[in-house]
Amino acid sequence: MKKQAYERPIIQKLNTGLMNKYGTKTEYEPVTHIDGHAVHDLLQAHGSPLFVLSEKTMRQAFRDANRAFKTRYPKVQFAWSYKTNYLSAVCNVYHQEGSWAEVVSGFEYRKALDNKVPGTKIIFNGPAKTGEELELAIRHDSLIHIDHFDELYSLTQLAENMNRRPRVAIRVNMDTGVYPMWDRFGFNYEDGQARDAIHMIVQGDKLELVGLHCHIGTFMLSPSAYGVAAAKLSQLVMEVKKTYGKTLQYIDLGGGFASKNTLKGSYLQGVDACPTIDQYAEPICTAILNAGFTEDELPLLILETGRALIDEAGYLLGTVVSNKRLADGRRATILDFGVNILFTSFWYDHRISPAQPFGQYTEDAVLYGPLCMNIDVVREHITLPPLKKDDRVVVHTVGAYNMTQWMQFITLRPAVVMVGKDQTVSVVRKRETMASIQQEEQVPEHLKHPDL
Amino acid sequence: MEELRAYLSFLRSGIRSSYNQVFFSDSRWFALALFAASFTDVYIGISGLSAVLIALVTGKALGFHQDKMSNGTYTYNVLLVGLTMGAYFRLNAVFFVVLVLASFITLLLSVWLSASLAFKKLPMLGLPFVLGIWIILLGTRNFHAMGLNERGIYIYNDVSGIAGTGFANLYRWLSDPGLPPLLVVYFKSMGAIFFQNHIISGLLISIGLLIFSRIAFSLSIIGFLSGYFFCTLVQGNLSDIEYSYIGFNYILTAMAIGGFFLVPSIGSYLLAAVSAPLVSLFVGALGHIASGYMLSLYSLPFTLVVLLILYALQNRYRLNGLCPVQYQLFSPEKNLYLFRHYTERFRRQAPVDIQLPFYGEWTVSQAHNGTPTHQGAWRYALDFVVTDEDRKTYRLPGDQLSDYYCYQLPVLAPADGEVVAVEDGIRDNRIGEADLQHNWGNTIVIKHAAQLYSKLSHLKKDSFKVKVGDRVRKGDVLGLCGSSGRSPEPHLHFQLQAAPYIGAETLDYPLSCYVSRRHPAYKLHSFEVPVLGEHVMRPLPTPLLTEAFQFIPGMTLKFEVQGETRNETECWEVMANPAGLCYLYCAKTASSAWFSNNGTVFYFTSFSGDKASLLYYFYLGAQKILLGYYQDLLVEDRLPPGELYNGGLKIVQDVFAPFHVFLKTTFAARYVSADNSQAPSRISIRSEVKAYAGSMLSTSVEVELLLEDRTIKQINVKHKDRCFSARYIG
Repeated sequence: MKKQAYERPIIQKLNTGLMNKYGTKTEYEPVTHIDGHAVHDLLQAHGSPLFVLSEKTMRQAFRDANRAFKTRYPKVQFAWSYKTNYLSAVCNVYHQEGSWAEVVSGFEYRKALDNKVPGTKIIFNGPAKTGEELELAIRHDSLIHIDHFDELYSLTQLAENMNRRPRVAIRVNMDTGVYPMWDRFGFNYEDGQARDAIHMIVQGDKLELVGLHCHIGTFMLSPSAYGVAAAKLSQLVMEVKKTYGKTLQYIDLGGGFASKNTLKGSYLQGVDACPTIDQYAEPICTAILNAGFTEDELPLLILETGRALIDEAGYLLGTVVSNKRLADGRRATILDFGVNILFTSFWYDHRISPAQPFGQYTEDAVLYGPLCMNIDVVREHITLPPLKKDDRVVVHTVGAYNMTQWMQFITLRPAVVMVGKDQTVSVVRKRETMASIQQEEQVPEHLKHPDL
Repeated sequence: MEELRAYLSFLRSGIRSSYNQVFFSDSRWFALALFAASFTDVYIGISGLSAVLIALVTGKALGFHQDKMSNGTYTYNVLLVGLTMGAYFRLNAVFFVVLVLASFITLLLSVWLSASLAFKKLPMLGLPFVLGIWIILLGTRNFHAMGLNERGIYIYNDVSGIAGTGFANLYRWLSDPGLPPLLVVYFKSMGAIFFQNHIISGLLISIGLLIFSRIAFSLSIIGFLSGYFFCTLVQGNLSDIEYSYIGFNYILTAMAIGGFFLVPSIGSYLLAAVSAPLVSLFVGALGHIASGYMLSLYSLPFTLVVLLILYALQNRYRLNGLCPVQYQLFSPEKNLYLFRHYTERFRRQAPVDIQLPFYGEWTVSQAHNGTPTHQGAWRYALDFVVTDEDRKTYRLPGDQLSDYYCYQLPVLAPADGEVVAVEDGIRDNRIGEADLQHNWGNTIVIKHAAQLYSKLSHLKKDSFKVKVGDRVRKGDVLGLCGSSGRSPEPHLHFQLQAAPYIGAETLDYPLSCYVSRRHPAYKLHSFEVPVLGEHVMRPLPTPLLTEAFQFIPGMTLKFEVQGETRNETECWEVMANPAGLCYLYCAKTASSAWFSNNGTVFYFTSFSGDKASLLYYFYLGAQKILLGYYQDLLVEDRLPPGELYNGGLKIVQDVFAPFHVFLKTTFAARYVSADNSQAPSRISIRSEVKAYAGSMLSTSVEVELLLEDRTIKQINVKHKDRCFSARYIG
């Protein structure tokens, strides 16, 4: 008989009475493997903590989304949202699947160029594009989405100076019936600002207006809001056609589709609460098809979905540093990763599974990160089986934003590996070393010798 | 001056065509050979030519159909009458007076008979000739000024009198060069078509015929031999064949049946061989009647046999093997190659463009004749589902309708039409259950044309966006895919039928076009029906392609050809003929390329003119273009057999063409790149035309089309040592 793993004893309060929503027993399965690779081996080989990306899941998610839209609407184009995860390997998976690039800064723009994305397939968004960056985008004939009037003016000036005709769209913000209404980006639909901007562009005749863009929010749980947005933009496209005789090529509905993560304070689990990609596609496509376009006039639908395409493909593997009992009696477990690299734990209750078999008993616990900072809490409440020092854990659904918003704070950032479609593991970002941080630093001559 | 030139050119083409029409040809050289052959007896030649001229002048003056005058339709019978008269009578002043009358009568007969037989889609063949000559012969019996021709009796005297004894000896030798009697009879029969008794005339005609058409030549031999051996077999009067201007009936019948009015094939050859004995019977039967009036039959047996066969064949329910030539090209080879080419290309072309009824890529889950349900009267139906990379139709766990990819997807109108029936209100089944009570579930039937309806079934309850009586346009959303009726999992049932009822029998009707994907490349299919497991899409036009290939009559395209030795320009004009068929015409090279564009696919149908022109290369390179951009799309097609092939095997091919075509020319275009595949402003299409002899590549042409600024910006051509590019300049 196999020797049973040791589990320290716990004291559990007995609940009697009706079933309650907390349950009594975990239904967690240990997650010992990711895409066929043992968590243990991965950590052994690449150190702990470690981000793991599944290429298979990424492609699968993309194809699902692509199918959901393309079977509902004839002209669909995805653009990979660089800010969601701009590791080159990740971007190129999506580019290989046919995605264009959606960038919001000069840095991301150059990153896309580095990834050999043709300039015409880069969408340049963002509220703070510099003159130099705009010039670069104009030279590459990218799609520039104008955020405000000042940008419109400088772009017009640049077009004149460079004697080019940049292809532009305006970002439109609008009331889609959800709170909060994002009105800090773009031109407002209801108060006529968007029409003013369109008028200036068309009448100014220096810029080529090719589309309309909007981005109504983030982690949007109500797909119907997209239907409203799509209908309003379609309406605007028709107005432009009627007023100026100008056919706009596309409608860009931005991103904001939710992943399967659970928002903090959410009553339901993410998997239950979040709409599927088909549920987003339905109102969007229906709205445009019903807007009254003839089949030849139907505009291209561009989607800048990031999170919904990658979140589930990302895992963070870590190790238990220690267990302790808090003064109020709760168990606290300290892990070797915290908010520094799992930035999204500020707004999600991440699902976390142990990476080794465990018994039937679970215990309420707090998960802390390794930082010597009070804010470093990974989960405030979690029901987990008792974990020992050096046990491994797997954090799910971390593909979006973490590998771009992570901080080099107190500790160095870990490696990122990708499990390829052929099951091979490749490092797509090396573990940071002293040198990688130090190389950017410069010390004035008189401070080189602290003489302690 | 200009008018005179036009008049002379009309006469020239009228004369040429009259000679040609006798042998169903339109070849300049063959006409010349026939013309020369008709002059082996100078008087006959003069008489024939005069008759044609008279008919052309009077016909033109009377205002008969210009084309039918200049293409010889109305005048070839006149020619034959003229020739016959030349052979019968002495040429004197009275003769020419009668000749004028004879040509006039025959012209009128030709106009009358061709018009009245055209209603039955039949040619008049030699009918006006036979009627005309009989009228003349019977009518002139009492004209004592018309003297019978005696040249044939003292021929050598005449010849040596005119050209000396040496020539007379040569003439004698040529008359009997010691050829086998069979050949002599053959040549004489050939000559007899133009009422020449001399072997040299038959020889000239035979050579001309061989050069004009190998098929016609082989048919002439088949017809002749078949007739000859039949006569031998039945121990008939062989001299009939040679001396009574009868033998040519066998030859002409075989040519008409075997290669001219029917597309040459094994069947047509057999029929040609069989028709010779028929001619023989007609000769015997009619001969008895005609001899009572001391008349010869001329081409009457040939005319009657051919008309009989053609009329009967036209009244068939099904075209089995023997196909009548639809569009006459005046060459058996051309008829055959065009027929083969068109049957390969447009075999299943249908009058109404039916397209797939959905967006995006779907998969055929049950094809025509599929199991379990596409059987019997409902065998021509298609079922579609949406699948993922693992060929699954659902995401896990797959026990809910909404787990199925195709559930609630929009269903579109396959073509323009009117909604004639809608059945709604049937609940979607749970997964795995089938509602056999309501077999078709929620269904819509759309009428597209008389006896052409499409039916879409198993839709979602209450999802219909249209109602009975609504007009719908191709691509309009009709409702959503569901799982009602006999549908254990969501899918779309699509069928075409001849009746407006739900449950009507299915119709085998092809889709006008669709795009299939076999990872990673796309392929265009025309006039086909998708097969089981095929991933299919409804092609959607891309503005740049649509605009670049939108050739509106009156438009001109000018290109500057660079490279090679010097720069030159070529200008194409878009023209349309009275029938509404369009072509690109290059005046400089006198070339025309005929095309068709249905809004989804652009294709060329034929080319005539200079094969070194840019237009020809464009014709090759844009043989078939899907007007929608799909990365790496492959468009395949065929060109007429022997197109581009420049080896000597072409003559061999002509001989064997009715039985086996081993020369083939293929076209393949690949959509290489676009600056973006959704709304491209630059597209490059690379096509390759390859000519094969058997499996051996003979020659190939590479053409690259670069589209930009709503037009064909550049054409790059690589053909053997030629390599040049042409730029659009306005």
